[in-house]
Amino acid sequence: MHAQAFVWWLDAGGAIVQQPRGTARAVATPGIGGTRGGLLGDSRGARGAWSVTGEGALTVAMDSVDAAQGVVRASLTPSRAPWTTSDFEISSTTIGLALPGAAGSASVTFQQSLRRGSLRVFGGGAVGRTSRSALDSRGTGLQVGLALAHEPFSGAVSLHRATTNDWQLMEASGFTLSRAASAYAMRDARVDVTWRAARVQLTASGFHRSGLSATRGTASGYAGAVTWQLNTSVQMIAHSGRQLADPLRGIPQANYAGLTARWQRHSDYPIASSLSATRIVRNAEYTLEPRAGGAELVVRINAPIGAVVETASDVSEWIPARMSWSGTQFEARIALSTGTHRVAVRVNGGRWRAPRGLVRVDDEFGGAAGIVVVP
Amino acid sequence: MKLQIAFPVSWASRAAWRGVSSFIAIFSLAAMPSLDAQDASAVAAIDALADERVRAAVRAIFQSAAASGIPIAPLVTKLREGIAKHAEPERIRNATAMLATRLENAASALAPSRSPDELGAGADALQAGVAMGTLRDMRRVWPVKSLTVPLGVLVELVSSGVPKAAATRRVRELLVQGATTTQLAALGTNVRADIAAGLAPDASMELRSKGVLSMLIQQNTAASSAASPTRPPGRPRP
Repeated sequence: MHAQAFVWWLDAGGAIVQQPRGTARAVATPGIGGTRGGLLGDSRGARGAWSVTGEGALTVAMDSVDAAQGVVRASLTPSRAPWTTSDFEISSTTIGLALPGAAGSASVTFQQSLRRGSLRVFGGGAVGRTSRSALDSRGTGLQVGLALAHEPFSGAVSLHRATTNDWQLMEASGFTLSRAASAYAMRDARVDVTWRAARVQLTASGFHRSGLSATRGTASGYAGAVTWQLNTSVQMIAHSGRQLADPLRGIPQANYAGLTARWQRHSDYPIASSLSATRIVRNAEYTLEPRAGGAELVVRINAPIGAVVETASDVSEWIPARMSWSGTQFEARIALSTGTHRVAVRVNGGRWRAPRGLVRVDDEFGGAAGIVVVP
Repeated sequence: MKLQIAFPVSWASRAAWRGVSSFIAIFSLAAMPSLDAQDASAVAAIDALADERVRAAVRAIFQSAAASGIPIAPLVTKLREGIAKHAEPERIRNATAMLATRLENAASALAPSRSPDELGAGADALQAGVAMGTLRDMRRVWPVKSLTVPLGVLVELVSSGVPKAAATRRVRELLVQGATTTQLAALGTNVRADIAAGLAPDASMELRSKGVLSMLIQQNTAASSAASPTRPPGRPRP
């Protein structure tokens, strides 16, 4: 197993939290986390890519909202089927730091994703158990969703179905049973949108919950966050929203607004076992994704919609091909075999040049080309 | 892809053509047989040249390369590149001739390989200013495995501004320690990313290559420990 990259972080922040029918409280929200990723395999080749993330967070107040949460996530993408990814998550929460373990929750989640180009379909399930005030409750969840990435935007829509017998949690959220039933059942619809620029990321989510079968009630929530990368080590994250009650972790519905400073450290140099997985060259006009027997080079050029943008490469014997408009920029996908290749682009019949981010070499014809090395 | 050349190789060698007039070139071509059907793509590429003199000269370059055992596929690609980019015929002839020379030198340094990809990568390295001696040395270190990717990474590093001596030394060390082509390619990507982020090329090269080297040395140490003789389980130590 090759180590590939390790990132860890420390969070320091605070938030205002208000539960339904409760008063607003100020809480401190320190946290720590780390993620490590790499390739499974040996010197003959990789069998897959993996990552493991661990996070711990405290919600510290001078009353009963004190809580500590630990989460471990693992992700695996097999090299034989790079279009699919399996994600696992184990979460544990203890409520009341004065007597840790007396009340809390534990949950396990599994999700399988299938990708084709920029489209991803995902589905999965989860189970959770919560102990609170002598009440031992269980929750289950199923979800399916569709995600689309189109830089600088990405988004997802998903449907969730959950059940729980945690009547305290559901009644506090305004949900009731119209008749005797073994559990509350609910359906959530969720939309997430993210926009990324070089140093800023905006995320927004909206969710709507409605009771199913004997469960009566509806609830809506939202979440927004702005992440500002101050430098390579420090991020500021402002977040606000209304979270809905979590039937798997037993976390109550609440409004919140907070600010967090995250200090993070990268140490990804001792590896270099993967192709594009290692680093992405800043402002690059290309991405390189491993494929069986080579890689797929995706070239993206920003130009006005009416422009004629062409690409040419040694694999196409330098026959120019028009790049297609993808909505925000021009795009071309080029399948490359193992070895070294040369690729060039031009706009409106101008001079041939290397896509930004690739090493530029003189083409000896008055222009330039970019070198791509495919292991 | 082989050309059918009937007349002596010495006549057709690239060296013999260097510096001679186009008249001689055209005269000599008259003695050469036409390109065979296997080289249809080469013929088509040459025929796409509008200038008759340049066409003849380029055909001679191809035939000369083939006679020297140099793969002509990289030359065909270069020719097509020039035509596609609407370069002047003389410029196409010069670029093709220079590539033929580089391929010939690469073939000499990387012998006995005649792989178009490997020689093409060698020619790229020579174009980037890497010395022939470096190519020979890399061949000695990796006598069997293809040097296409290592040479491509070396070109990336040197063209990114990493001093040739440092890039050459580090890539050689990685080859000696048994780096995979994936590790080498990732090294090139990481160095480019560092440079784009503002790190000095030589500093990035040192940092990244040491990272890969430390891991390789660890792996090699572990492998040699595993391969060392051990007592059979349960048998008492003598």
